[in-house]
Amino acid sequence: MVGVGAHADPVMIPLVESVLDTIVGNVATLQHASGAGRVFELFVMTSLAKGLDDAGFTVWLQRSDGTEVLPTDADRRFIQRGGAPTGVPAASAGADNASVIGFRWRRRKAWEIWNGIQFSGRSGANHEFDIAIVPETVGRALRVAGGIPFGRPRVAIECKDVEEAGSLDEMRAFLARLYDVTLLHAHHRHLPYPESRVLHPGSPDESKHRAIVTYWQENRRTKSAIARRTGFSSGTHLLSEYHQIEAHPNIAVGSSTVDGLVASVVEWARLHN
Amino acid sequence: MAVLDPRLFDLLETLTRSRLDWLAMEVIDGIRSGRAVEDSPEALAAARKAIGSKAPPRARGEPSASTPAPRPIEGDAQIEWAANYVGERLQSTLAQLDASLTMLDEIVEGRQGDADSQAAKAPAESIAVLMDGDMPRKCRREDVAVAQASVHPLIDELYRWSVSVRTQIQS
Repeated sequence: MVGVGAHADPVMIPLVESVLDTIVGNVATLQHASGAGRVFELFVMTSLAKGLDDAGFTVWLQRSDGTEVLPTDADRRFIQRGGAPTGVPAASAGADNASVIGFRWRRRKAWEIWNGIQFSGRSGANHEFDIAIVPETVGRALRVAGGIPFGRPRVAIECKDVEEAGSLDEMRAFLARLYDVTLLHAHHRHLPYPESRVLHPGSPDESKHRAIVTYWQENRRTKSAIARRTGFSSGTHLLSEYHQIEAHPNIAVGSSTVDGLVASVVEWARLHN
Repeated sequence: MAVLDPRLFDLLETLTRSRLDWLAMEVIDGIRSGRAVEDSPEALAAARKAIGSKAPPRARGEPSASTPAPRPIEGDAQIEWAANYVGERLQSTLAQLDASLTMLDEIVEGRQGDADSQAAKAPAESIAVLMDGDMPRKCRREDVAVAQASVHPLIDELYRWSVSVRTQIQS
């Protein structure tokens, strides 16, 4: 019987600590409270980008000042912002803000993949989306002076790097954010924008970017997903299916679950490029 | 909800001293929340397939059974779980970081087949940077490789600690 107050071999813990110090000393990201979570987001983001690249899209990395990262560049930093989420910084603020991944199909209009950017909803509240895909024109418009996009990203992925299984509450919170940022045609009667678009500013004047009538239609033409390191608690699949939020559990390096998430986004990109 | 086993405190303190307080918190949260009953991969896959079919969602309107309570992790199982968790957590995060840096390099340098021919022209490599205010936390692939080389020794030491704690007789 093991009792309270028993102690392990006193040599053991110093050895554990020594090895931990080597790991943390080399990867400073792990010292940050949300460092592991941001690594998970980076992994999901780069997996999507690589999947698009493999599928024949042209993919590039882009600094926050709007310049592309080239193979010959000495500065090959890919930056994620820590701390409180923000909107899109002005290009004039320089290249030390969050990096972006761009992609396009042949000569079609380009898209941008964002990490940790806030979107404003109809309520006036701001909501962070871990991964968001928006038209490049939206990014370009915002980088003129910096700002927060208003409306719904065309792809929104919530990344959950937590051990606890994804709960109904987690999915409800994501659903509420999507509901608040969805701009339907009728909402524009009360909005200051002259054109009825799904996302402001800078959405192209094309039918797929014009506001539509119902939530169901908007859910159908966008993609929403929760990507988790672990699973989902019992019963979440019902909410997932009804509100069209794809649940992708057990995302890990080399797993088929990553392939499934990537394939789903690549398929969306093929249909909506 | 399980009560935290005091024998975990040495490990929690060690994680905190090593600037991994977030990991100590995850161990506590993981043990307190227990093992949830999860949706099966098949149920989730069926839901994703239904979403992809674009069929109109059908309102069910019937209340389903309440969510089953998580199974608690107690006693020696807490020690074993925590030791496994710490090793696997760091291992998987480092693998994600390594894979991300590799994919960033591949995207910049072109497709994998072209990467070798471009290598001579591209002395630089991707660096993942987490900007915390004005303080950049930079990470290169060689840093990740050194950290990854330490994961197996860590897992071994954590296992030895776990066995030692679980077999210790109260003095």
